[in-house]
Parts: sequence; structure tokens; C-alpha cells
Amino acid sequence: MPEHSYFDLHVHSTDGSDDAGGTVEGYCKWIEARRNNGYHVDGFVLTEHRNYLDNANYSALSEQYDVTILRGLEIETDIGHVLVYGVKDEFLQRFDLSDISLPYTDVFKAAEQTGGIAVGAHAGRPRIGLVEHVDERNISLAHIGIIEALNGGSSDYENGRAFDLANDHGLLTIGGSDAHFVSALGRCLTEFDAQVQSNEDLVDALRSGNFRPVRVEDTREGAQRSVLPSAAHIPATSGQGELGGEAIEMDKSAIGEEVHVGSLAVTIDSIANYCEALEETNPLYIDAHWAETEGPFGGIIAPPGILNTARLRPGPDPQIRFGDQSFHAGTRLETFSPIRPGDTIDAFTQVKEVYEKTGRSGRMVFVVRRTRYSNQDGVDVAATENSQVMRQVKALDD
Amino acid sequence: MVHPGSQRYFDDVELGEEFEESQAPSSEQVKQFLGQTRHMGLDGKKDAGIDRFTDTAEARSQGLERAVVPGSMSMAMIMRLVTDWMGPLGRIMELDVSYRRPVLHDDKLRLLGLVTDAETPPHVHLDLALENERGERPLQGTAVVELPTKST
Repeated sequence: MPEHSYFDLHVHSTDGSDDAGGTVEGYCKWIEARRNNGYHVDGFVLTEHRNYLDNANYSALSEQYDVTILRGLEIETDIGHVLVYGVKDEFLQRFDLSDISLPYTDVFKAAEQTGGIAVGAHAGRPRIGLVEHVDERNISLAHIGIIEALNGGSSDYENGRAFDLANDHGLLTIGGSDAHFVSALGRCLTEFDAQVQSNEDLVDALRSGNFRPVRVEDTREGAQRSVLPSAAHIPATSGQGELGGEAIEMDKSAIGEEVHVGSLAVTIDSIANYCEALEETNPLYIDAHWAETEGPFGGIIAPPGILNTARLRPGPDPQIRFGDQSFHAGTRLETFSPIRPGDTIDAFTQVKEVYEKTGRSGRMVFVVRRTRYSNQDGVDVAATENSQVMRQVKALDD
Repeated sequence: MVHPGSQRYFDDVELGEEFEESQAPSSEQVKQFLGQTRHMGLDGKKDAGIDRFTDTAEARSQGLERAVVPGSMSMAMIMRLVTDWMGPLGRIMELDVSYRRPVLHDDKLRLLGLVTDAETPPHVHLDLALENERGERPLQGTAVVELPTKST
């Protein structure tokens, strides 16, 4: 009976992925906590989006937490996202990683030719996984030997579709959590029959074929191996429409220009109204007597979310001509000072960046706006970064 | 319900500690939220695109299954989970959320929090998520909160 090693082969961190919230050290601490609960996780591979962390050095963290930290890459191709392990300079020189539609056969062949290996990521997901491209376009699988069928960010239905494809075409399968946040790491893993301590070991282990996807629960001593999904008996998840792909036009001069976009007068009444709508019961926000006598600020303050009630102008417009639907993709809030009744908060917004990527719903353009909130004394009380996504949609049939 | 006495202290927080609440945002609650915030009602004008938050037919024309909960309301729900958990003397320093799928009206949501780091007093790192009855996590995020210690 060989001694197995367990790796999470799909992890994103704040060091290299714009949409990740987990730090590398946070992941190490989380593995330590998992081990204390009887789970077996040896390490993980950082597969940042379109970004290879060439100069990152995690040896100190690796030693401190006894966790093997390897580096790979997740790139976007014309058949969805692809994980690359054993990335070499020669591989990086062949591709523009910011391209969201790299030719997949070139990617798989280049990985092989340069001493690495490529794997179809979250293969069961719409648009960004392999299955749909096989079903709809009958693409060739000649250069593809491994797919990520057990993905922690995919639904059971999506993973089931991936396992069905692997079974139908004789592909090998791996597991990866696709962690963007600390507690997701290790949700899905790959069990190797060999010990893996380097990127070269990882490539050798993947080329050997002696591995399989597992869930973290499977790594406990004596655990009964969980059943892997098939799409046959699982309902599909939320549909989100289908996309097209027009060229993107924009005004880049709008990026970085900060303008005043509005003000918010904060009153006792506006705080009370906000708290009532959210069923907020924290006495710091609603109980004047408690806030004055027991609270840390000598009186009521506003929940930071009250900034959402400001009616603001949109600010500089990069005039992006893409898609027909826009929605909110994310918000990062930082608080610096309390907001008090009587404050007048001025908001200043700039377009921080514009970029595109592909997701379940196809091609998307992200516009990140940073807004600084300053009170009447010129003190910054908070800042937000809001990501807005633009995409093209197709209506669902009734 | 946060009572003045229900304060959480850094000393009592453990790595891996989980906490949760539940909420099923109804169409009425969404309209109430929109009316309280910038989106509609305050000056009689509606923001562009707001109908997908209140009108299923409009939502379907945009490729969505039914009317969706605005992101700012989802963020407010997860923020309340944090403020409920940390108590009145805690302070949210950072909150970072990403919206990965739509939250639909009447989704039965679990509001989930988990302590991922509590080793740098008095700051606690949290992972946060909204999870629907289909097992999807339409909102995920992190927060850093400052908690009082019992000695202060």
C-alpha cells in the first residue's frame, strides 16, 4: 500500500488573482487547522488567473507551516480555462497571458514540450469548461489527457458533467478546490500515489497517471471514500443566459481621474431608517442611551453600510461599448473612522482599472471604481472599490 | 438580535469557529430595501436597470430566472451577520465581497461566517458566504474585524 500525498491543485491568492480574498499564509494556517482535525493535506498549487508568480518565494512559509507550496497557472483558452503545472520560461514566452482566448491545442502542446503539463480546469462549467465545447463544437481531445472534474467552486451537476466526459473519453481526472477564500482550500484534492515536493515532482506524478480526485473528508484515517458525481441524476443549476462577443471599445483617459460625485448627510433619522430596513439591532447604531454611556464612541454612529444609501453620480465614464447588461460583481469596503449623525460625507470616485475575463456566462468586462468618502473635516472615513461587470445576455424562454 | 451584553471578545475566538444566520429575502423586503437606499423612491426616480430587482418578467428578459436581490442588499445581509456576531464593541475594518451568482427573491439563504485567523490580537479574519438551498454560494467574501479583549 503506497503512502499517499494530498494536494489542492487549484488555489488563488491575493498575491496574484484579482478576485481572491485568501492570503498564502492564511491558507497555510487553514491547512494547519485542518490537520488538527484529522484531515490530510500536504500542500497546494497557486494557480493564479493569467498570472505566474515568477519571483514569489514561499520557502519561509512552507517551512514554518510544513506545507508544500507549488506554483502553476490558470489561463483562458478557446475551450475554457486551463491549468498549467511545471510552468517554464519557455512556455511563458510563447503566450500573452492576458489573452482570454488562447488556442487550446497550442497551450496543451506547449506545456508538454516545455516540461510541464496542462489540465482542463472546472471542465463541467458552462463556457469556461471543456464539456460544453465538446458537446457543442465537437472539439478534438487529442492533446488533452487530464481534466479537473472535481472542482470546489462547481456545482455537483457541473462536476457530474465533467466526470461523465472523462468516462466517455478515457480522460484522467484531478480535484482542486478553486479556492479564492481561505476556508475553501482543500474542499477538493488530488490523491497521489507518490510523494510530491516540487513542481517537477508534480509534473512527474501527473504524467504517471497514478492519482485520483478526492474530497477532504476522504483523507481522514479510515474514511469511506465518497461517491463521485454523475450529471445523470442531478438537476442543473441557475441559468444565467448566453453571451456573444463584440469587440470592446473604451476611453482609457478616464482611468485614474478622481472627481466629486455627491454627498450624503447623515442624520439620526437616516441611521434609524437604514437599521429598520436591515433589521439591524446593534445598540451602537440604534440605542442612544447605551451608545452614550457604554459605547466606544460616546454616542450613536452609523453602520458603515449607510454609505450605500448615498445617491452618487457615476463618476468618470470610460465609455465602454460592450454588452447589454451590467451588474455588480464585488465590493471591497475599508473603514477608517466612525460616521456620526450630523456628518456630511463627500464621495470622490475614480475608475481604477478596466479588464476582461471569461466566466460561466462567457466574456465579461470588469470596471473597478474606487470611491473615497471624506467627512466635513476632511477626514477619510471609508473607501470602497466596486467592480461592475458588463456582459451580453440572451433572454430565457418562458 | 444583538443585546448590549452580547459582546464577543478576542480572547474567546477560536480558529475554525463557525457562525450562521438565515434569511429568505422576499420581494417585499427587496422593495423596502430599495426604497431606503439610493435606488428608488427617495426622489421619485428609479435607477436604470432597477426593474430586474423587482420584476420577474424583466429579469427573465435579461437572462435571469426570476427577480434578483441587489448586490448592495446581499452585502448588507452579510454585514449584519458580522455585526451580530462581533457585538457592539467590535469594528469592521475591511469587508470584501464578490458576487458570483445571482441571489433570487425568496432564496432560502444561509448566512455563513468562519474564523480563519485569530492569532494577531485583536484582529480576527473571517470568511463569509451566502449559501442558497441549491448549495450554491452566490456571495463569498472576507472580513477583518477588531474585537475588544477582556483586559481592555
